[in-house]
Amino acid sequence: MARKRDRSARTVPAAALPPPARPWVAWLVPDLSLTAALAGVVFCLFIYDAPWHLFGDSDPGWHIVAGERILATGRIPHSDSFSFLQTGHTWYAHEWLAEIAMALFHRWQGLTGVAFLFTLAIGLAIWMCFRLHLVLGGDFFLACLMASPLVATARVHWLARPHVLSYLFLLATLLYFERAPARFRKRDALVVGLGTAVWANVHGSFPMAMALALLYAAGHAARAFLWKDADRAEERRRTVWFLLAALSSGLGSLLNPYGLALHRHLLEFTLRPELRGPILEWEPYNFARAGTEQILAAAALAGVGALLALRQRNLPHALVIGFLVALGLKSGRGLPVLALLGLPLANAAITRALEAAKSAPLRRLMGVSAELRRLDRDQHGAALAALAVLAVLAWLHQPAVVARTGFSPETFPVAAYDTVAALPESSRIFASSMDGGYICYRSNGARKIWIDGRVDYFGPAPYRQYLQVVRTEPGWEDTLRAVGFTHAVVEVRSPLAAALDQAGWRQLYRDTRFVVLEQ
Amino acid sequence: MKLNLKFLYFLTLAALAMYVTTGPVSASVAGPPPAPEIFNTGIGNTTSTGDPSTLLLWNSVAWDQQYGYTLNLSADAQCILLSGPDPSCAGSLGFYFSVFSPGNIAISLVGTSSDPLATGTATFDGVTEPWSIDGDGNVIMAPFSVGVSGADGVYFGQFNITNLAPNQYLELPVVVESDPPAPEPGSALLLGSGIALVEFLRRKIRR
Repeated sequence: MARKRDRSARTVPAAALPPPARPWVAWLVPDLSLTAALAGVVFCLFIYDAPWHLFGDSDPGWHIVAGERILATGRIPHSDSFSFLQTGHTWYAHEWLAEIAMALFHRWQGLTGVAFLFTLAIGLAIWMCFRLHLVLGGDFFLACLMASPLVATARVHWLARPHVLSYLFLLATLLYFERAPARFRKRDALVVGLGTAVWANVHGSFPMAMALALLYAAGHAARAFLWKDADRAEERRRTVWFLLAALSSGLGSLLNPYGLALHRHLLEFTLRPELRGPILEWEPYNFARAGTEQILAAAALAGVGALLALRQRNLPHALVIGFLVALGLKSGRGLPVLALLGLPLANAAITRALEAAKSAPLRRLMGVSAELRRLDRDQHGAALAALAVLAVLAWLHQPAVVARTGFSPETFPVAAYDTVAALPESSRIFASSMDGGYICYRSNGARKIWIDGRVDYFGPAPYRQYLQVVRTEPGWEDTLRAVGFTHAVVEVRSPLAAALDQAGWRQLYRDTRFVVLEQ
Repeated sequence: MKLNLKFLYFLTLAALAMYVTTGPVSASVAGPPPAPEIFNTGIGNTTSTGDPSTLLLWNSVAWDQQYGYTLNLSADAQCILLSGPDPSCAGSLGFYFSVFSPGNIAISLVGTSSDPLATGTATFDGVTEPWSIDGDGNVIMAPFSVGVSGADGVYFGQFNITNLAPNQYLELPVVVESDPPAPEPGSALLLGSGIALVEFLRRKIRR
């Protein structure tokens, strides 16, 4: 069998390599990457409880409905049809490719199918992350030790939403950049350009491809100027390679239904935090929370990696890790990206530092680690991976698992929905963005909602109005009147439920969690 | 030697699988639930519902955003006599928290009042507890604990004054606390280890 490409292998004489294993063994025995991916999937399914947690917010609901609409009409929408609130803005359904995938899996197996899709994506992301460890020349044992902080940090934002698919593009980009050939070829332009084109239609994080290329280019360019002993010709060549990669990526990203307007939209949304409104996932992660030691460890390891990379004059890696750390500290959404990309880069820097150490026990340990890496190249476990995929599907189809797959009645108005469905079509229902997304899903988009999770479409105003009303802050009644709400779906223990009751709204439905009221 | 290496290789892979599925990350998810974290997202509506000849004035509402396991919040209320004799003021102050990792949350009041006859209630997540004033002017209320359950979310409470005499005041330091947090030294240890590692490597490389 062909041996896997491994940067560290270049330093090992061919004669020193053990004979390759028999092919059938290689197909059945997992390597490091597959072991980590399988363990990650087991964690995701059994401990993280993916069938329930992946649907922890209602965005998967409207994503699925959007995908269904695109499949039914054959058109990518430019305007919103889910809400009765006309914002006058264009709705950029820029994640349409991911939405189609979600809708197809939903057609196939319902929410079980969607959970299956994203569980596979999570497993694949862990597999790619460990491949990156090895491609970068990271230490075998260190990669293993980093598995726990990786999973703990990545799970912060495990949801059945397109951003999970974007992790695959991020990892693929870094894997490709790290294997960049000497000269920028047409093939490189095609791979980077078309890759970003697909990415731009899956998730809004596609500018990261260009950002990473520019960071690499800046690192190589600066290295040529900062250190006299740097190979300036080589650094210049690498700089040009990554500048051309950034250009290809930028051009490829224009292949989306909205062209350059999408870039403007995303840039404005990214640079102006006030447009995002009170959405928690965009806020910095609260490290004071209990049980965040693993996440802190991931951030600390990445920080150490950045310092060591700088010391090793590996400016491209230092810049990339620094950028990822900043991203992770700025927003909770950035933490999984920091872990998936930053930890392998940190491992590479730490490994190089350890290799330079003169401690005999340490050198022996590094030698053993290198031997294990060589053994690791002899298997891939592809057949086992295929069996594992089937096992995941079979487990998700267990009746007990199916019963609790999807949106939780503890969080969403699952039982109250029947009452909502019976309301007149012209009803204007006051409900949170979470409940709005859920109602959109249950009605397949037929029931017009007020707001859902598309803050980039609605803008921050209605989310603030929601908080004003639900907190019964001064002027809440005026807001209700101004929007013309006829019904409300609110939590039973909310003071709004009591306030609406006092204001004469009629109770249509009530359970332990939600109440449906009519004016 | 080769056999040993292979054994070590598979042992490492097995340890990796165990480490991910039963290690510290699993314990943080599947272990005992952490203490509820409380995020005070602000005050709700304030009302004055007494006789029109009096006005309950809420002052010094120090309910700015706080986050943690213990929140110390406060507000003052003053009964203003607008016209003619009047028995008392009444009103309410709403408050709400985002609670993560729900569990038990204790509410206690340690306020004072110039009106020995002042009375009212404190409500949180549907549980109501009356309070009154003792001979020294201190608010007396049995601290009560509420077991918030279900998903992370916003929980609501209300502080009610049912009787406060004209020209009298009430100070309301409210303490909201959950179970003690997980020990923080773990984080400090991790950070310290990182710094020590860098220093160790720096020295090794310099040699």
